[in-house]
This record gives sequence, structure tokens and C-alpha cells, in this order.
Amino acid sequence: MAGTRETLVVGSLQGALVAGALALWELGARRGWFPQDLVSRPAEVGRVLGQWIISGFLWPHLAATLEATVAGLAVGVVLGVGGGLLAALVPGVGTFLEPLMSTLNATPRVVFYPILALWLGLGIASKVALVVTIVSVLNFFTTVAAVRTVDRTLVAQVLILGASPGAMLRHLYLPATWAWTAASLRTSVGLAFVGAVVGEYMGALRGIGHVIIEAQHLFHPAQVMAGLALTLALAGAIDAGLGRLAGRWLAWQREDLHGA
Amino acid sequence: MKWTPPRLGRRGRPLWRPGARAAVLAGAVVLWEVGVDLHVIDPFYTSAPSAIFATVLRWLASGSILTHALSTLLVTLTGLAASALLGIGAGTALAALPGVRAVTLPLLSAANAAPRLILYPLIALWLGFGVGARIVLVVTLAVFPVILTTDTAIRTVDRDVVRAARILGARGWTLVRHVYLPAASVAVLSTCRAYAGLALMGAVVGEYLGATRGVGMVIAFAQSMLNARDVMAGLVVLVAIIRGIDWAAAALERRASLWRLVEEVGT
Amino acid sequence: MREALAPVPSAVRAAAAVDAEGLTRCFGSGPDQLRAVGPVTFTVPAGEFVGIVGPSGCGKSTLLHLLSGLLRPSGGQVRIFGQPVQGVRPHQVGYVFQRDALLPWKTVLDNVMLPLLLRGHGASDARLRALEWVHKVGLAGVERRYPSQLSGGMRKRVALAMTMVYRPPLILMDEPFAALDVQTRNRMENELLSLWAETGGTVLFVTHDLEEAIALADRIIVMTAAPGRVKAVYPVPLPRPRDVAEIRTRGEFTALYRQMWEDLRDEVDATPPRA
Repeated sequence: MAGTRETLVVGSLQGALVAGALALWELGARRGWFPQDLVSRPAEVGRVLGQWIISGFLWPHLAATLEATVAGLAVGVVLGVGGGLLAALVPGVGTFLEPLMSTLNATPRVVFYPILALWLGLGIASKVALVVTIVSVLNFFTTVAAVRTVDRTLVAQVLILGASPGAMLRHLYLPATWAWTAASLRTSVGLAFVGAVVGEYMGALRGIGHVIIEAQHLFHPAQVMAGLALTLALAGAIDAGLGRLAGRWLAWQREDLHGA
Repeated sequence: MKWTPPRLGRRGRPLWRPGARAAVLAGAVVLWEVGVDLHVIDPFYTSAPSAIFATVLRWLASGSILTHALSTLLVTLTGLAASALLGIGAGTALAALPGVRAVTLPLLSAANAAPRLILYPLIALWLGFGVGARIVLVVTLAVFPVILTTDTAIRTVDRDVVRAARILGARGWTLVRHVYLPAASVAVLSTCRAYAGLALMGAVVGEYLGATRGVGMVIAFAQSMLNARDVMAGLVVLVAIIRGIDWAAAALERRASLWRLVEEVGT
Repeated sequence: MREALAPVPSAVRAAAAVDAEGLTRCFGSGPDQLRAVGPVTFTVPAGEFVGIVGPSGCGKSTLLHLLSGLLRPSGGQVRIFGQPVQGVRPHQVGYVFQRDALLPWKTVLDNVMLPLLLRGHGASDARLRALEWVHKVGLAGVERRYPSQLSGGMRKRVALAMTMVYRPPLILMDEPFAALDVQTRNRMENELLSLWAETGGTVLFVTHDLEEAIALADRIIVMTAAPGRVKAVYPVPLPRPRDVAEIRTRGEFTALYRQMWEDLRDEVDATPPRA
């Protein structure tokens, strides 16, 4: 009982804090405490968002960003998992792949965008490529870790039961990898989305990032904030949704009940 | 169990050996150079290692890259230092005031989870395209992790150590200075080290998006001129800076945590 | 009473379930080379339940790895039903490990079905036979659960079902019940005996618990301290069917135990304590 009451108190305090900040901001803007053309106000931001939605301006850009995110994610996961499986299971491949991946991992991939834009232009391809470099490296290392931490007793047992290399992959290594991949999917998706947006900042013709940058160049703070609010809300929603999904995918890890 | 599972190919041997890493990278560079020489790889897109290397040397010799590298470094390190100071202060306050902590911790965690790099256009809108905006970006990137790890570090200080210090007569500020601050500073140092790459990335992205100095600007300019060689050379400089910062941070971290090592060995 | 370690006639050896001769396994090379087990020579006739006891570290597990083909011998050779062991396939061997070897992402039923699917059975046929065995080991109703949702004893039952569902003529067991509490262990031992009585086949059961070995086995091989060799072989002429708790109260049991314990204790004493 005390626990839920405490949660309610804390929750309402937080809500009050956020609401209070917004109210103060609106008030301050109207009273002229700070320059409106620089800082704008919540009501204006809301108006911009509403207009974007109603006029249909938002959708093509949203679609472009999400397209880049999803395409980059899909390709990145496949390459990362595939590369990781090869590196961990086929002798020699790891010796070749691991140094490359380690070097890539040590550098923030966003700095590669200029060279990718040089190669692929300012269209969606360069964003997808950027997201691929981010997601594939992450999944490469989680896959290698997944395969290397498979219990050796399990491997021995499956071998004794009569598994061919293909069967080992299907019944043992792929499910083990999936556990790690699913667990890191939240991170992968988050990084993919941010990568797409930042790529759009650095040069694009469409996308939410492009909208935000344009607004910045034209000195429209309300639009910048509207775009940012949308982006952050989207990132948060995706993250929360994936958190729930991951719980369901990994049901076999939960230690629910112990029989007699 | 002395049995090792077989690889799907031949019998298992260690997966990758030290020194193999350098060899593979060197091999990749050699292949690249040869590829350009044989006109298999178009140097317009990637340039050649020899040309890139020569450019970097030229930059270093003429000193032209130094202003830019220093600017990037300055932004990164100033941002990290500011994050460290602000973070220790806020983190300590958080640990000391459980009421404030209860209300603000979820908000801080949410802020930490949010992708703060995307806030740059807003920061630039308010502060322009100067060094200040980029430092502020770095601070927004690094300060939240520092706050959270400081809070954790202070709250997980060994209770026995605190009791022992109290028995020896330490109170208030002395206690903070000799028990809590060292614990916090180790956490802050390792957090800053972990986020140094991200901090540098923030500086570079900021420079790329509009600056008059900095390695990011050099790269942006080269890209606008479709000059792959200079873009690559800029990347090489960046990677060198990242490695340098990491090395320095590691050394600092080692020095700062010497007391911890001694403590562990002594028990 | 000990069995004389006389050479076994070749006809008997050819028909034996397990025929090991001079079996040795070393690890490492050069001056650091360590002999883990051997030379081991013994023969196990088909259909017997043989216990292998020995002090810790004598190489009992390594011996089982050699018999199953998971490890290659450094010296000597071993034949299973007349065929020399070359890698894990194509022998019809089952192995129950001490630690959990269930695939955690598969349900109980899917785990038991796996060996049948790997051997080319159709899915519905495999499911039927797997269900039959799930019932046989007393896990009816929990076939849709995951291993993480089962107790230790239940997981061991799944392991038994997984191994016996494809009726391997030779089953190797490496201290399978060591991690269970005493009551569960007794129950599992009895169940193992009744399942074995039903399916037949040869069982090699490694344990450090001499009582468990005598209660279960037809014959016991006592191994020396590391590197393990065969020290003695004891027949266990106790009648079947047995109840493992009840059999321990018999006079013959105690007599056997006393005889074997002498042999075993010398080896245990010769083993340096683990660091």
C-alpha cells in the first residue's frame, strides 16, 4: 500500500515538474522574459505540429526516415549476425573479420557519413549505409559472444544426439544467437533511428532530420522544436514497444515456477 | 571439462591471435593500394593509402591541420571537463538528497536514454556556429552519464569504509573529501573515458554542420569539393585523436585508481 | 569378491558392447604433457549395467568422452559393438551429462523430439514417440514448459527421456544425479532402473558414490587415482528388480561395500586434495 502511494506522489511530482516547466515557458514567452523569435513557446510548437499533421507535410519525411531506419536495420542485422556466425564458427574468418570490426567499433560511425555521402550521394542510400555500419558492428560482436558462450555441454549433447553442422546451426547456434540479438534489438533500433536522423542532418533531401536542419537554417525555433519533440517521442515509443516484445520473445528465459 | 567443441570447418584453434590484428589491417591497406594501382578500385571514391598518407604528412609538416585538430580537441576536452564538474556536483547532490533523487532520477535516466546528439540544431539555433555551441553539445552528451554514475558510486561506497573513517574522527567535508570524492572521481574518470569517443563525435558533427575551424569542418569542406583523399585524411586524423584521448584517459584512470588496486591487494 | 583381470577371449570381445584396450588420453605436449587417463583395458558385455567408480580427478569423465568419440585417444583403441570409435558418429551412443544439457529455448517436448528429428523421423511420428517418453518419465502435463521452469529433478527426467527416446544400445552416464538432493536422487535411481529394465541396452554409469554404484550395477570397475587405470572389477550378484533404498539394508550389500571400499580408499588416499 505504502509503495503505490509513494509511486503516486513521486509520479505526480514529476508530472507537476514537467507541466510547471512548460507553463513557465509559455508564460515567460508571452511576458517577453526571453526573445520569442529565438525560444518560441509551447503553444506555437503545438500549432506547428498540428499543421504538419493536418497538411500532410509530415508524412513523406517521416516515411523517408523510417525507411532508412528499417532498411539499414534489416541489412545491418543480417550482415552482423552472418558475419558473426562465420567468424565464430569457421576457422580463419575470425582472424580476418575481427580486426576490421574492432577498428570500426572504435570509431563513432557518424564520422563516416561524409565518405558515404561522397560514394552514394544525398539520397536514402547513404543513410542506409550509415545505419548498416552502425548496426552490423553491434550485431557482429553480440553474435560472436553468443556463439562463444554456448555451454560446451550443450554442444556435446547435441553432437551425441546426431546433429550435422547444419543441424547444430539450426537447433543450437541460431537460437542462442537470437537470444542475444533480440536482447540487443532495442539498442540496435535506437542507434539505427538516430543514425538515420543524424545522417539527414549531415546532408539529405528528405526526412525528419532534413526538416529540422532546414528549420534551423531558416531560424524557425518552433519548427526545430516540433521536429525534435516528434523525433524524441518516436524514439521513446519505439524503445518502449521493443522492450515489451523482447520480453515475449525471450519467455523461455524466465524462471516462472519450479515444480516439486 | 577438457573437451572443446569442434568448429564447423577444421579442428578448432584459437579464434584470433594477437599481432594478427595488425597484420590483417596492414594486409587490407596493401590490397587497397594495389587495387588502386591496378585500376580495379577507382581512386575518385576512395583515394589511395599512399596519397592519404602523404596528405596527412603534408598537413603535419605545414602545421595547417594543427589549428583544426586543436580546436576539435579543445571542444572535446572542455566539454568533458565541464561535464565532469557539473556531473560530480549534481550527482553528489542527488546522492545526498533522497527526496530530490526520487523525483528527478527517472527524468535523468530518461534524459540519459534519449539520443541527445540530435539536439544540435536547437543548440546551434540559440548559440550560433561557434565553439560555445559545440561545447554545450558535448556537455549535453556527457553530463547525464556522469551524474548517474557519480550518484551510484557515492551510494555504493563500502559502508565499512565510511564507518571506519567516522571512528577516526572524519566528519562532513573531511568525509566527503577523503571517502566520497575519491570514489566519485574514479567513476567520473572512467565514465568520461567511455564517453570520450561520443564527445569527440559531438564536436566533429557540430563542426561538420557549420564551423570555421575543426577537423569536422575540414572533412565537410573536402566532401563539398568531392575530394575523397582529404576526407580520408581527415578521418585518419580523427582516429588518431580518438586513440590519443583514449590512451591519455586510460593512463589517468590507472593513476587515479591506484589506491583501489592497493586496497584490493592488501586484503 | 574381485574378478581376476585375466585376458578376455577375442570372441567375447568382438561381441562386447564396449571393448577398450590400452586406452589413453594425454593433454598438452612436450615436457608439460599430462596423462589424464589410462592405459585402460576392459570389456563390457552387451546388456550389462556397469558402474565406474574412482577418486576425483582420476579421469572418469575423460574416459566417457573417449568412449563416446568426443575425444580422440592418445593411445590404445576402443570399439563399440565391434566398430572402432572414430568421432561421435556413427555410433549409437547416448550420453547423460552431469550438468544440464537441455536446449533452454525448446520446450520439454521439443527437447525430447530433437534426437528423433535429427535421425530423420517425421515430425508427427517424432512427436508421438516423444510424448510417450515424456509420460514414461513422469512428466505428463509439463511438456510445454521450458527447462528454466522445471526443477532439477524434472530436468534430469527430460535428459533421460531425450537419451532413451532413440533407444541407443549403449548409454553413458556421467554422475547424472550428483547435483540432486538425496530423496530426488533415490527416486531417479529407481526410475532409471525401471526404464533400463524396459528398454534393455548397456549402461556405463560413472559415479563417485560407491553405494549408488553397487545399488545400480551388475558389475563395478574401480579405477586408480589419476591417471586412472583399471584397478579392480567386482561383480555385483544382487538380485533384480531392486529398490535402491531397500537394497542397501541387505547383508550382501554391506559385504560388497566393505570389500570395494578397501580398494577405493587406497586410491582416494593416493589422490592429493584439490586446491
